[in-house]
Amino acid sequence: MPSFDPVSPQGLSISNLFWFELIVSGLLLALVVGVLVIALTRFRAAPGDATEPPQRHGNRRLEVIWTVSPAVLLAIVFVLVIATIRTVDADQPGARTLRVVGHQWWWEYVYADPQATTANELHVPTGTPLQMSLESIDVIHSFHVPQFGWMQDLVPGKANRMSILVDRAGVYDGYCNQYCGLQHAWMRVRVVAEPPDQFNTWIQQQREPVTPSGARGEQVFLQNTCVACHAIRGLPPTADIGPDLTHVGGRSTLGAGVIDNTPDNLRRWIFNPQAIKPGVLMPAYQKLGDADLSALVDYLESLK
Amino acid sequence: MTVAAPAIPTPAAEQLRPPGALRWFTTVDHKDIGVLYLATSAAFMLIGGLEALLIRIQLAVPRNTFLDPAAYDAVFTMHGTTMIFLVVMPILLGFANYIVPLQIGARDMAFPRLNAFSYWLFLFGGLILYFAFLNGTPPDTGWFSYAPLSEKPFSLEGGVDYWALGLLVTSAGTIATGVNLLVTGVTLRAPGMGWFRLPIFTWMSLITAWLILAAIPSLTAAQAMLLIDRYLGAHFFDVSRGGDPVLWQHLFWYFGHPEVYIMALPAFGIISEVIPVFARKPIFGYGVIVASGLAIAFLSVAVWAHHMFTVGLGDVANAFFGLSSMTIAVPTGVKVFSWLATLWGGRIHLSVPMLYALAFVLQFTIGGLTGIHFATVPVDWQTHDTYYVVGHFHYVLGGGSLFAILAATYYWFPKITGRLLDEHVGRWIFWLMMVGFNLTFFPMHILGLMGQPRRTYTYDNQPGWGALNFAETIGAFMMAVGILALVWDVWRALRGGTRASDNPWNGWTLEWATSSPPPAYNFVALPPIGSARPLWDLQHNLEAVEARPDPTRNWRAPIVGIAAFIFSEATFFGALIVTFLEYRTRSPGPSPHDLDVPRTLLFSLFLFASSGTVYLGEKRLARDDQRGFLTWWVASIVLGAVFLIGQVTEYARLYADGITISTNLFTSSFFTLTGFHGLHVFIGLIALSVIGLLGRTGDFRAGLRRTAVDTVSIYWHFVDGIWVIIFSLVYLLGLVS
Repeated sequence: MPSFDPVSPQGLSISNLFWFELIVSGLLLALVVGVLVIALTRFRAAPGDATEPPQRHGNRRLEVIWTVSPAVLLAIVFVLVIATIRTVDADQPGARTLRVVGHQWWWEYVYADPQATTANELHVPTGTPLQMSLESIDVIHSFHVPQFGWMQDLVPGKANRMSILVDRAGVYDGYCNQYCGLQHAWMRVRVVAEPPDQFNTWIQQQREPVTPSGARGEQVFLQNTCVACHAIRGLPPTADIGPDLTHVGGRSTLGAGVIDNTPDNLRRWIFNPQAIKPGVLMPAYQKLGDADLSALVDYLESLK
Repeated sequence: MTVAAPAIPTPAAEQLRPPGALRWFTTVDHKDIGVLYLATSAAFMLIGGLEALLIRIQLAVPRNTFLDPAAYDAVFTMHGTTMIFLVVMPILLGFANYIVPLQIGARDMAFPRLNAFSYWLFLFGGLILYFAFLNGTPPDTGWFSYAPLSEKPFSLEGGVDYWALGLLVTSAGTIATGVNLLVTGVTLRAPGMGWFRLPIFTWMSLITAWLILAAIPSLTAAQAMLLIDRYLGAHFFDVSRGGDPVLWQHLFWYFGHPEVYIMALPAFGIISEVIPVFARKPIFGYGVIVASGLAIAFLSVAVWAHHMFTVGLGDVANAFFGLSSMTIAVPTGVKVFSWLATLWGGRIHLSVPMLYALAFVLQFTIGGLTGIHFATVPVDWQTHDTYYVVGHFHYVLGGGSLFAILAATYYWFPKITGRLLDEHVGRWIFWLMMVGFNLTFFPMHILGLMGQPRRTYTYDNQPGWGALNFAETIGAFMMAVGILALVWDVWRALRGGTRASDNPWNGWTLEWATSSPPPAYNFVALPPIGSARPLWDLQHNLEAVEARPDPTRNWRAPIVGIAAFIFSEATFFGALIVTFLEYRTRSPGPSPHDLDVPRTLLFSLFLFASSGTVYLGEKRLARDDQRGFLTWWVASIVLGAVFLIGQVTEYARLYADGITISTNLFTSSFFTLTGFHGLHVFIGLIALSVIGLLGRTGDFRAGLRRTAVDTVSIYWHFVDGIWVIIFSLVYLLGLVS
């Protein structure tokens, strides 16, 4: 269960607190259930019994005890809460910075030092403190990868800070967690956590612009309205209304996680994205002929 | 030892008139209005339940295509909005309407015509909401309609507007009911019915009434601001011009959290009636239960930002609201222990109402415990807006409030209709509901921890997700069968089921001291009221103990009413004032320095003078000097009108200079705050004029109907008093900062 399999110290701290709460809650629930069951067996009236039991109105001592004890218990939990907040939200000196920008309905990731921009598939180096700056250009979104342990919102007009350190390599899935419109369900997060040297290779690759080749697919991209929204760095002009496609071929999913990245799926997506992710802000390109479409798909998949 | 209850005088059969159809449209009787609320809410429940089934069908399997995302978004928005505003709240207020006057030995509510008006506002507000479907633009931004998603350009169609307008109409009715209930409880208790002899359901309903007045106006203010953004070009929540979407959340949840206690406290009251009667002993710790209800109400306006822990409010705010939210668990837990102690040592009869009450105790405890998990900030950072929270709130609102409503239905149906529901069928329905409810909502906790977010129209085929979601859908259909079976049994009973006696459950509160159903005037005669259980005392031949002297029973109802209404206005203006203070210097362009302070001060003096002349007019009236009264009264109207003219001309001058409501944040909040105040002045002038006209025809001679004059005067003084605050913060503050 992802919430209890954290891959970060922040997540571990929260998971520990949560386990403690679940155990205490379980005991309290068992107490309530126990009293209910015992009361229903011991004090059940026989059918037709119209007698009255002793009419006790209260017991001051008992009432004080069961008011004070939960208060004491909650005070203890509150101390643990403050400690956990301080662990989770602690400053991580020397952290790498990363901007996470929410769009309806995709994720833009902007790395600093070295600078790189990509979309929808987030790579992070393991064992490295990261500070994410969460921003939005439209409505409120929320970045949640359950195994990271915690989430924060992307609020337009604000930049929320979220500290994370991923200590285990792997692929982790998450999602947008604040209802943001029609395709909130398919604004998924895919995180690839890899050892620092693999990450450095990846990010250098992401920084590489393409070399214009005059391939047919490249021409289709430039001569249609694709360029109005999508950037392929190395090809002028650049736009950032839709996801950056410079290295789209290397991503594992398309459409922010709605389909796997295969040539067939990419073809279906470009032909009519509305059929796959209704409401997405990308028009259909049904007017492209078969040959042009195939060329475009081949070209995009080649951008690894 | 029990004694056969002495006969309580009940009306002769011919005094109980059978209903005619037109009666339902013209009635001002609290019992009829209660029935109208219950029947209308039941109809909305079927619609809200259908919406739930549509959601569950869509989510039964991964990547389902039963509902497209637009339809799904409308359905989940309307499911939440319907269940909260058109089902749970009105059902509980419907029961309060019917039962509270009976429980306090009164003839009716304090303001019967206002009561009827409240019902019709509820109905028409609901119809406005549902008209949106017919218009093709149902609300689809969620029941809490966060900005900026609810602003243009993200929501260009009218769904948000129907949502806001429909709820503004129902809220007016709800606030009126809040005033009515509170005044009824304060002023109409029968002799002997001291505060600490009130039945717990009445106590909780009165506390709820106070909460309604404290909280709902915040929603009203927020929705007004949203509509002003959408249609007058203001920028309250418009990020592009510096507006703050988080402000919407603050205003909404300041209402939203007390709202859930508005739905929980009457439920606690119902359970506190049912468990003692069916365990045959008094509620354990009456004083503590009342005190905990008051504590919950006061605390509930101090916890709202626990819905906003992931928004980035900062560690101090998060810690404060985390602490307050955990604190509110203490009075809630105390109630659970009291109910368990009431059962302990009792003689428990498992009639259907008791079954629902017991299920409530179990299910509300589960929901309450997961609620505490959310109060602990870091755990909220993991579980916020996942299915864990959907499970939590359905356990407290479904397993809690809904089950309490079902208990109340079985408990009070005989009193309201004079018929009995079938116990055997009732047990089947109970087990269907119990199994169905837990099957639907327990797995949600697991799915939430597995990573399923709320408000998503579908999900991917991950291991276990499809099976758990499918099980939840089965549970939902089980509940649907249960509810339909209940509707059928109600229908059957109404058409000729077994007749109910006055007191089929052998209860001890005053509603059982009259016929089933009661006559129009409620009681032929009241038994002596010496404790919280008058009928128990009667059965045990106890002497009635005199109640302590209680001045509140002699307060005049309209005065208490206008005071309660002004209390609700404090929240409304408070929201607008807080917004103004936030926004007054935040954006470039026009600022408080552009206001003509001396000019407005001059016009304000006219308004303040009008309070003085109202006071002088009342003094003349006290001496039965009709001419003097009318002279000062007309002077007040003229002075008030001059103020209003001054405000209108001020607006005209600002607009002529190009300073409009849509210029920047200062102007948005300035025009809204002073505009709403001006509206209140205008309404006050109408009220003063009505009093003036009535005065001319001699209505207030010889001390007659003084209360009407006093009530309007108090309102007018409030309108002036609030202007002192607004003038200082809007105009004077600009001079010093």
